[in-house]
Amino acid sequence: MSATSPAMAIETVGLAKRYGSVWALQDCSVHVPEGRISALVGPNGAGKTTLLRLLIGLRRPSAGEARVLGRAPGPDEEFLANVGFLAQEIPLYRHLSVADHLRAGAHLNRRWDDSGARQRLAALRIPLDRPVGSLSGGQRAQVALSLALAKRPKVLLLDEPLAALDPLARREFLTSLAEVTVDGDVTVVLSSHLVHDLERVCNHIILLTASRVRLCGDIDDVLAAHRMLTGPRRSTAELERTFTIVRATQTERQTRVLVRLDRPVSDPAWEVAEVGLEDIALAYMAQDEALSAGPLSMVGGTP
Amino acid sequence: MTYLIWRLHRTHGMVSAVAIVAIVALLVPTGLAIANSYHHAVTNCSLDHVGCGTIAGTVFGNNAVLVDLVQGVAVAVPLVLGLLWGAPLVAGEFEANTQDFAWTQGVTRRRWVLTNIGWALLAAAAWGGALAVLLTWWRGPANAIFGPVGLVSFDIQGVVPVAYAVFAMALGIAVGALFRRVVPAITTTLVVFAVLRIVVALVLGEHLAVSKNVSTLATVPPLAWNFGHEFISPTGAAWAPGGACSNLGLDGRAGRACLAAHGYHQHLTYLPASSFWPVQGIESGIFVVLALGCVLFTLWWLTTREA
Repeated sequence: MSATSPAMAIETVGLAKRYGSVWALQDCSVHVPEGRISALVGPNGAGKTTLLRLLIGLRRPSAGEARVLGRAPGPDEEFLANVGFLAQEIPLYRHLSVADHLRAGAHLNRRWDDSGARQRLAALRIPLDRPVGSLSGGQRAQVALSLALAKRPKVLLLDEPLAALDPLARREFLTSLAEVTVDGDVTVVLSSHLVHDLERVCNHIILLTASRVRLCGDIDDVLAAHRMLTGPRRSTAELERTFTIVRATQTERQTRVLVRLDRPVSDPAWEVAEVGLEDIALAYMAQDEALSAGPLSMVGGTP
Repeated sequence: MTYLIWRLHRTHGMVSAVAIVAIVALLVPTGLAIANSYHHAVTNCSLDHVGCGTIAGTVFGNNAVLVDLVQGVAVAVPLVLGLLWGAPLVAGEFEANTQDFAWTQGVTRRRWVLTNIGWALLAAAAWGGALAVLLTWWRGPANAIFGPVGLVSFDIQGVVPVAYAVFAMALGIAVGALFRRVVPAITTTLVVFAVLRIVVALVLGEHLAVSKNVSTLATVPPLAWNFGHEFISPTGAAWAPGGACSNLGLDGRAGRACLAAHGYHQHLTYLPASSFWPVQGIESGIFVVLALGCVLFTLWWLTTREA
């Protein structure tokens, strides 16, 4: 997509993963340039977790190839030293204290920013001496993020880190993330089924629905490339010849079309408006539902 | 790596330390008392020509419960190690998803598996070794009176306790890695360990026992493990109750001499006391090889399969 082609932190080509007869991910080709904070968005079951686990090397692809920092993900020390991962369940040893985790991390990793992690946790007023199992969900997520960051990874993969958090903890978590990524020396991919949460901190998006990639690019480019056309009720056939229609909805009197813009809209009958990221994402997700539910289903409200 | 393992298994280590201290506290005073009473009995026996058959009664007559307790503990320890320490080692990580944390740190999965197994097997060997040393000493008088070979006595001294403990631990780890669930891993470890112990004991007993034809007057050598004897008639039929010389009884010399006069011979099967160390070596070797198999399986399964 990008013409200047900066160095890619993450690159996949035709990546696919099958569990038994079910394809969890198909023909996945995405690029995340270095320094981006990428929102991996899609409905539940779209393949987000599968993609992240393929990128961290906990799963192996059924087809295609993944490159993270130029390496195939796998259990080798060079790869592991440069990536951080936070799994969806926020797995920590419940009986061990935060301090135990920090010491273990220091022993398990070549690079370990112990003082940085302690400072973060102190600022969040998370007690280091209590068993992790006795902390709140938000505190656990912060501990896990601090541990992942203490590795000083070049690529950080976070699987639904916000899912278990209340709105306040969610905001704190995203603020922390924004703070640590401000220097731009770490590339982050974080998944969520809600676009709304991520828009504030992310500058890149990967949209997955039904195990396929629908959208991958910088958010600014995505916003620039989509417009909502509103006009009197009419056929969209003519429009389809010039533009890629993401989704069309019709009421009695009105036709609304979300198009991917390749050139300016010349027909003055259409009123052209900019669209927010959430609406674009929802249109792609609904497009996918429409394929199975029949044509012209309405875009639903915010989930 | 080792720090995390120590921190995760510190409780096991402490419980082990306490348990070993308790076992020492049980074995050392009772062992000393038994040894004392044995020496006393032996001395009196040789001076007063008291029948030496009574030494067993003198020494162990009041200690039957103690002996059962000690031997029960010694038999159970390797299995308990496999069930409570080995089986949850990997399966517990999977149940809590903590392998996602452990396997995305800076150490390779191979190193994680080998270091975990290494320390666990070392702990098992230490447990087995401590028990073996204590029990071999504790059973000194019993070995002198009853012999070291026997159904339970063979299993709790020498070197086999080390091999059993190492195997039980390796088996628990392997089954836990396979199932990824603690409870199925524990039950499977229990069944597989018990079956293998019994099968190996039966097969070894069958192959290593002395089996020979002797006079009807002969008896099994002292301290041997007697598997049984049969009187065979000249036609090759085994003697059955109501057969020749039944009226004299076959426990005494008269009956046996009578059988000999009828042309009978005797078939003996036993494990001589002298085969204690060879059998210990063979059985230990078998379980160490089985343990190695479990280790290789675990390593292969966890490094080639997906998390």
